[in-house]
Amino acid sequence: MEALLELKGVSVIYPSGVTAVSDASLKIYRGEVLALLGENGAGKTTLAKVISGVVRPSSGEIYIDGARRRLSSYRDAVGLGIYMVPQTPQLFGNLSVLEDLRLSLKLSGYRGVFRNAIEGFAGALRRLGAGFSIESRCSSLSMGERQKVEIAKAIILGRRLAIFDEPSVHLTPSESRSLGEIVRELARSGRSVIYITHKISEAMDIADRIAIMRGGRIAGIIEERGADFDTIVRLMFGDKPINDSQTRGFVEHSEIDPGGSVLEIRDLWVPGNHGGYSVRGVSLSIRAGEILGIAGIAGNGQRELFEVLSGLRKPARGSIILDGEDITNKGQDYRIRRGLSLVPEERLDWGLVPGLSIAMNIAISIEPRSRGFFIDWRSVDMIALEIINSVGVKARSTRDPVDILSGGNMQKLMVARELYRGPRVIVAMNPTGGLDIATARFVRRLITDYSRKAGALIISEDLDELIEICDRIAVMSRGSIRGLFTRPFDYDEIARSMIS
Amino acid sequence: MRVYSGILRSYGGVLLGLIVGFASSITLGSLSPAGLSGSLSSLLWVYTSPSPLIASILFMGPIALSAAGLSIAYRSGFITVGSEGQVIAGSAAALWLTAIMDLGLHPLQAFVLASVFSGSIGSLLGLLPAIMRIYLGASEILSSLMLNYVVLYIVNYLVSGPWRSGAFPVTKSVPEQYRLGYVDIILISLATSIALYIILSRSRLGLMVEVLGRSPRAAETYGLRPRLAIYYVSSISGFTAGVGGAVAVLSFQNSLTPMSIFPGYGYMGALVAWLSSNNPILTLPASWFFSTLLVYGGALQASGLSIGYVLAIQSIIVLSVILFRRITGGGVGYS
Amino acid sequence: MGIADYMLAALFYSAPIIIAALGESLVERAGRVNLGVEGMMALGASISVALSSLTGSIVLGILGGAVAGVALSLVYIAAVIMARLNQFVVGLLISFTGLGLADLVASMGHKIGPGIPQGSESHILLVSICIVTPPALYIMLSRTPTGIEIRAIGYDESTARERGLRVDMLRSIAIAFGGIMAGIAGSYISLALHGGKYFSGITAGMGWIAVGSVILGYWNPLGVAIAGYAIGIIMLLRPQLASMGIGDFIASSTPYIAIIIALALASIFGRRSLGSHSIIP
Repeated sequence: MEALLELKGVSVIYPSGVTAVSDASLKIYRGEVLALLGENGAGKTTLAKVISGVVRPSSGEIYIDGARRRLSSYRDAVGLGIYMVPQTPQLFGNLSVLEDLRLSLKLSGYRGVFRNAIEGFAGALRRLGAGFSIESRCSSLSMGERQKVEIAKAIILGRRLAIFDEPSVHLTPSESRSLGEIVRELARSGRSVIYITHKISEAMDIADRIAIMRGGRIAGIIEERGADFDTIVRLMFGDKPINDSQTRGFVEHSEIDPGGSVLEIRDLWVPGNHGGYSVRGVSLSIRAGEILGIAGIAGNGQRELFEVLSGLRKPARGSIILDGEDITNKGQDYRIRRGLSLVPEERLDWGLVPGLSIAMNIAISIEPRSRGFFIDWRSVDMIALEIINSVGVKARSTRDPVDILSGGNMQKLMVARELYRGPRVIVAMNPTGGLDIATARFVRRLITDYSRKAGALIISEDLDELIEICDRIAVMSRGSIRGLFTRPFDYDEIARSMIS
Repeated sequence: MRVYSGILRSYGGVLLGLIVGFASSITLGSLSPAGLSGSLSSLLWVYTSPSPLIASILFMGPIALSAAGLSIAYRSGFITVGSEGQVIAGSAAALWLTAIMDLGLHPLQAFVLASVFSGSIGSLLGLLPAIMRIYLGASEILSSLMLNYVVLYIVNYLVSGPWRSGAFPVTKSVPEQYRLGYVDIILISLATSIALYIILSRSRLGLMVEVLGRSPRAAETYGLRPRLAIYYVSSISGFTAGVGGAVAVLSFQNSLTPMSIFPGYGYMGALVAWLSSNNPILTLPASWFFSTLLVYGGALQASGLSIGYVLAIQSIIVLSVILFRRITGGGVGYS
Repeated sequence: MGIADYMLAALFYSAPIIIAALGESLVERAGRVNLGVEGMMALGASISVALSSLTGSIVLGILGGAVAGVALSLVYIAAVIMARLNQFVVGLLISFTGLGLADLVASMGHKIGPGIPQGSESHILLVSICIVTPPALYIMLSRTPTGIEIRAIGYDESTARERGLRVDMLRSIAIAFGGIMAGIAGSYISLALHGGKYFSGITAGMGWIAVGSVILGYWNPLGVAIAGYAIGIIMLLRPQLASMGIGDFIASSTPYIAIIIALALASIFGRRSLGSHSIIP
């Protein structure tokens, strides 16, 4: 079998220094279905973007039909018959499906006859079980329907290689099965398909071969069908020592003294950005002295949950109870006064304000709210110095703009600031995202030390981190809690619950 | 060293912008009937003789007061141009109080009363765009712009109708004893700028404003109450603009005739705020600068040039400055 | 005046508003707001009179008006599209500049020139722009690939950039188109409405009303034309209303009040144009 496409030593390193893909070599044969399997952040989407021309590799070569090629735009790629379906449907809500298709055809430099393309498109939609007319406005379609539109587009535009990025995320099981059939049909007719997924069962059903990615590298390629499930798991997640400790890291068991409930979330339903609900009936309870983690692949409602707690989003149903008091409808400043502390995912532009001084950034959160009109900057400065010194951040003066600090220092500052207030519960989202190991450890220690007397809710994509510091871990998927785990944690079990 | 190059970058841009703006304005002035010699000599006269320089202080009132208030509003991201209507309403209110309702007050009393009255009306006018923004997410620039015209028409009606004194559409004049002098205006403008600077740098509202303008999410998340902040800034900028109108009437306007948008002191306040990077202290020299341009334009009026040309020069200068500020990397865009 | 005559007179009166509004409607469909329309119209009015007086040709006058509009729109493109400055601030600055420059041009002399008599060929031609353009724009936006692209850009800029749509280029073209329309509208005001005369304040806020008409017409070319026309009808009613004892200022304020209401309604029903930045998503 001849290789349609070959990648040799492809790496993608972003200007920020983050390595998304590292030395990937892969062959894709004609008429095969290759599954690209891996966890979130493993590099699958980035690798696919290299193949589809959207991302330029920092190093490595691409060969198509044996000839070395430089894909400088996705238009080039489509010209060669390679088309990638985005992970989240990227349709224009105000256009009709037909109009959006027209746009895609035009942007891809499609040179065929429109009529044929539309017929093929409509046909593909029908096979996917789409019940809507192509004259419908995209905004009226559900997520699943939008995904079908994107998939149908790929069927038309990906003449030689169609890449699907997590296509079944918004599909029902039966729709996924139809998709699987279509994919196999495409392969039978001589087209190649790359199917990106994090679901092992899906990969095993659909693919001829499975390429497993982990940490930006290709961890392994399974060449035959009927491979061993556990082998695949091990390749996806690496050899993880099972954390059988009874207590979370850093803290002795006897020191933990769980008190009453500090934060309770009852049957919370939160609308999402595209209609429907992002959070569906979530209920959680956190006691003083306890750290609860929420694990899950990003995009399953965690962000919306956090936004409700930060006052940026209103829930449709449900309540939030802080120390026995219902704060669902209270203003955010009331919640903060009552002892809620928040560490958002983005340090700049959310947790900290760029352009303002360190002192001002401290003031936004700790400034005592019960005093009068004026701010006592002297005491703010003192507090700021105290906080800076307590976390070992070096700054010349508290009047310096906060942007000059390094990312790690900014994070330490933000977390320390939130803890300084002595909150009853601290809610953090990806608190160690993008930090080096030492700083991440430091931040984790800050949180765990503090939460001996208070509660903490940590939402994180880093399962290792949660396993290390949490007492209990809840898994969030598609807006609901799929499982609640206590120590001792079984990594594989939790991981499976995240991806099934 | 980094700090210094940063300062150089941001001020260098401003300087470049000022030079370009000024130069193009002079070039344009040379197109007027006064010609190049006429405009240059007028310019020279304004900036070298003491009397025009002092006279321009007189115009500073409405400009500086509205600019100072607006600088706070703009910092919070609330971009309103309602200052124009507020200045007009404020001047009408002050005129009514002092000229039409002859209350026989002590000058200081009259001034305080007129200021409070005009300022309150200005604040009220500022509420409409604020409410529309807070509850509907509607653009305050458009709503305030439209409101300006409504205010303008109402005041013009009053001036040419019920308040008319005599055959021509002119109102009664403000009695001599209530009139403000140069020193008064400087003091009032200075006091306002200082007060607003103190609010900005030392009060909780100031912090709310600074955070809201840069990161609305942070403002909401940490309980800094963006909605309340918007009410405050719209009221404050409305108040100062209203007082600016009162000062205008009590200093150089003295009586009202039906107005157009020229000279547009309220709009000039907005221009000054943008020029001064929304710094309430810097708005003082900038307002005076704009006033001198008004005097310059006034001098050219004798040769048949309408005063609207001054607003054009001022706009070109501001546009040039913000452009160069952006090009040299300084400045916040609020884009 | 008979009803038919009245309707026609209202059309003649509202033509500049409609023309400018149609240009601005394309700009806003592409996702930008140009508050410089008033200045563009004023400069167009002034330059067209100057040119018609200098050359004796009203065609050159109209052309000059269009060029004036384009020139100012180039400033907008440079400042907003390229330098990414705040579109509202720049628009206002351009309006003030245009208004002032219009007076400057007028002060050079040539404030009076040959105008366009009512009912003449050129007059009918200009007015017919109001009739022909709305359906043309409507068809362009709803049927042609470029129109679809423009609508997509105006709806979701970030997705548009990701998918490779020509955001900046199409917006610039729309703005230039808006400039031409505003400039022509300005020429109409001075040459047709005032018989070849220019005076300071001749635009009387029509530029702002044109921007407001885009909202009143809910960004649909046909709706925008109707909205502009409706405003013309109201404005023409002023003498009648005055005789009924309703002050002139009420009729003059009505368009602005209507625009505020339309803005409120449009915001309620979720049209996210005008860069309306709400605090909480």
